[in-house]
Amino acid sequence: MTGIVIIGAGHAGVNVAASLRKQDADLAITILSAEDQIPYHRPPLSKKAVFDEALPIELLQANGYYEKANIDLRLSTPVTSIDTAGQTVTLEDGTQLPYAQLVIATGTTLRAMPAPGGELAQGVYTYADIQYLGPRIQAANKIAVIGGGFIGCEVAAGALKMGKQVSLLITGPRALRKAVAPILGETVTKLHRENGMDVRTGCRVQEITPQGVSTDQGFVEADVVITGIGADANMQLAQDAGLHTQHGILVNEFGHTSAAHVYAVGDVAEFPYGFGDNKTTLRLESIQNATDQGAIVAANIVAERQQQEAKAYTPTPWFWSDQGDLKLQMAGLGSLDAEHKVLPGNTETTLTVVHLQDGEMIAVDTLNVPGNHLAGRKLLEMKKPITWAMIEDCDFDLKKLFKQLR
Amino acid sequence: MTQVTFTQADGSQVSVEANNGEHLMKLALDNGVEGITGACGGSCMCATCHVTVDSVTGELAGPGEMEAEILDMEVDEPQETSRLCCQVFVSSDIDSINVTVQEG
Ligand SMILES: Cc1cc2nc3c(=O)[nH]c(=O)nc-3n(C[C@H](O)[C@H](O)[C@H](O)COP(=O)(O)OP(=O)(O)OC[C@H]3O[C@@H](n4cnc5c(N)ncnc54)[C@H](O)[C@@H]3O)c2cc1C
Ligand code: FES
Repeated sequence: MTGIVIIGAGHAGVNVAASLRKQDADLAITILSAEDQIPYHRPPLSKKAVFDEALPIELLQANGYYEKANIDLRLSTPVTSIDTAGQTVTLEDGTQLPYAQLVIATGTTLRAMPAPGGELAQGVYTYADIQYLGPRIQAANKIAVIGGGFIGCEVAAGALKMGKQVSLLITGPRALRKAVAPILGETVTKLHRENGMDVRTGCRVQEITPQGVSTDQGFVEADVVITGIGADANMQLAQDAGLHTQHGILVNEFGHTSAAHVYAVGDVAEFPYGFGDNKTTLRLESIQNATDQGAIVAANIVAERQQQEAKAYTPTPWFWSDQGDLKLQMAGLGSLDAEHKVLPGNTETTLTVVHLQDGEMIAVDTLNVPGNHLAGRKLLEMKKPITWAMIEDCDFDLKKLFKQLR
Repeated sequence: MTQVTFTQADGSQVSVEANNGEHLMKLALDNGVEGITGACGGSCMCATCHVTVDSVTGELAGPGEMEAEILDMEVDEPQETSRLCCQVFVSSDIDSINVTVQEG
């Protein structure tokens, strides 16, 4: 029987491979990676690595792992097409590889800056990006960051900590507008400003020049311009092969795409989430998702081969972001439409916000309160209804509530 | 140099010499220790690097606030000697350290 082919060697692809190997010592596993680096952790890139002269790289698995585990990892080997009928993938040099099961784990690509001069703005997305950007940040005095999402905020806060003069240009009214409860986004915006960051909200970028960024709020001088304005799924391959896609490659709760024997996983996969009226499909860009969905897909590949029942992916999402000294942690899937209630007992730099939908807790956002994040995560993982009244009855102590319900 | 020994679930051991400043999660990954995933890359977020410390020759600092919280909440049955090994750093104060890899 032919083996498994995995396209993409990010967190998801590598985790599928490693989980498969744990379950089956003999399965033939090939990973095809467009990048030329041994697979590495992405989160440290924007938090630490790009600011460190040594440009450290943290590998997902030790260098010798793939050989030892008999996983055929091929770097600098992008896949150019998929033939789902013939069950093959084609590489740049025309080689065709057959597969019994195919895993598409192609992740996302940073959205290009649409303004004139957009090509002068650099993203922090891959190790190659930080190799380019790291020395330029070291040498710069003034840095402009476009985009108030997690990566933009992380890079801006890190550069500020290095002593650079930093402007953060955001189109929306506050940082992290779509990602966290409004009050948390406002608090983070305020704290970055208090630390000396020039955060410009409601700011439209008009053009990028070698001297900086021209905006509707004036010209922002910068030696280096960095962009982080979101990412799109790498799903062209899948679309060309006729797979169903929307914002990502559509999969069912088992990770199956619309084509037989083809799975999608990680940032690129759009999966069903929630129940009843709140049922939707979504794509998550997170380590939790890449790791947990990866493990499920690996289990389901083994199940398919042994004609056993597949397992459903029903995650409790979580995410973190380190921005200078601010540690943000999100559990559950928050919503801007939810009711947002703040737990009492905060200092200037701490915050816990509970998202309530139809009276039930759906997410917990925290700033510098790791205990509440974990308690929130554990409570959500129980998948029991948690109301504000229950939280109140426990003196707003999420940990106490968890221990009571456990 | 510090001698670090990991005991894996099947009882077999992996022993390595480590440099100051390295954390045990990285050592475990670099040396193919079974049962350590390190999903969050050492950000003290995921508890996929849980070990118990069997013995230390020298001085080992205790868990920080965040790590203690995770051990308390995330690990199903934390033991007195439980640590998240991404937060256990090798230093010149430690001659040797023996740990056992724990599930979850
Ligand atoms: C700077 C940065 C910071 C982040 N910080 C956090 C964080 O703090 N917490 C968190 O939870 N998440 C964070 N994330 C998100 C997290 O890294 C992603 O969710 C995760 O990497 C997704 O894994 P993946 O394998 O699905 O995709 P990726 O890691 O993007 O890997 C996909 C791989 O597929 C390759 N590929 C694409 N097309 C092809 C092809 N045709 N042939 C072969 N290979 C191909 C790509 O080159 C890439 O290497 C961060 C991301 C970035 C970029
Ligand atoms: S590696 Fe995630 S907590 Fe240690």
